[in-house]
Amino acid sequence: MLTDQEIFSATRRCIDMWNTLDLDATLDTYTEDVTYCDPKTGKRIMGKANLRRYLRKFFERWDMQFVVTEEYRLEGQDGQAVLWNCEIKLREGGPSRTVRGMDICMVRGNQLSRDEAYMETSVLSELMSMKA
Amino acid sequence: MSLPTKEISRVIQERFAAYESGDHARVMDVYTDDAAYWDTKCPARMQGRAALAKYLSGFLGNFDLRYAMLEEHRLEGRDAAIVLWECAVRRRLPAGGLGTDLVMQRGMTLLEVQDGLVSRDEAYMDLASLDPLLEQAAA
Repeated sequence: MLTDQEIFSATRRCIDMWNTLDLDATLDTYTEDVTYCDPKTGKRIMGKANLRRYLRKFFERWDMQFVVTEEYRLEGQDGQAVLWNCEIKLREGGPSRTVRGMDICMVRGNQLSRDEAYMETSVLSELMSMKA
Repeated sequence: MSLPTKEISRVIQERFAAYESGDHARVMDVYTDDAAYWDTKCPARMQGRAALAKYLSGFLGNFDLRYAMLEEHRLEGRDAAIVLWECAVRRRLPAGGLGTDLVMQRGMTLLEVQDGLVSRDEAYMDLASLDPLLEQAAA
């Protein structure tokens, strides 16, 4: 079993990379066989190659700054729940909104093998409509 | 802070069963007097059973909820767990019965337990998909 520190560090590293919008650096924080989903994926994304396709489009449009507010290890597992706030805006600029969310993350080695994010997405539509 | 996992699961099961029942009093009975509540439609965390009762009365009155609990994970060192779930949501019609439109929701809820009751309930989900049903309820 991994230590709490190892689990939290793997997740923090992933979140830090999301904040940079560096696609390759972000993908490096996931295992090759990662399972990923958020409200916008529709269904689970399986594998890093598919995640790359999804994140490329997402990172091209959105600028995000996550701040971790709480993190809890899952008992008996190499995983955690992480609560966060995210300030999000279009990359081309304009207003931003803050979204709260929670992920369940499973860690293998120092990478995430599962990442499921839950949040409200209506702010994304709102920001898109303000652009239009 | 060392409740058996079975006791935490019991409280969680009752929390979801109460919501499915649509019985406002039963839902309120699962919470401590000072329970903290938040979901993705709340601008800020609510504190206390009275505030929660007011907030949930409209929601429970307008919607029928059917949960499938997919995963439950206890949080290490805490009397708490996260629950991943799916929920089939249908509108309750004013004349009785249920609407035909059904929206499937997925979410994750963080629940803390104290003295056999829920002391913290935070539900993370994408309620944007419920907007058509909310508009129908408001009409």
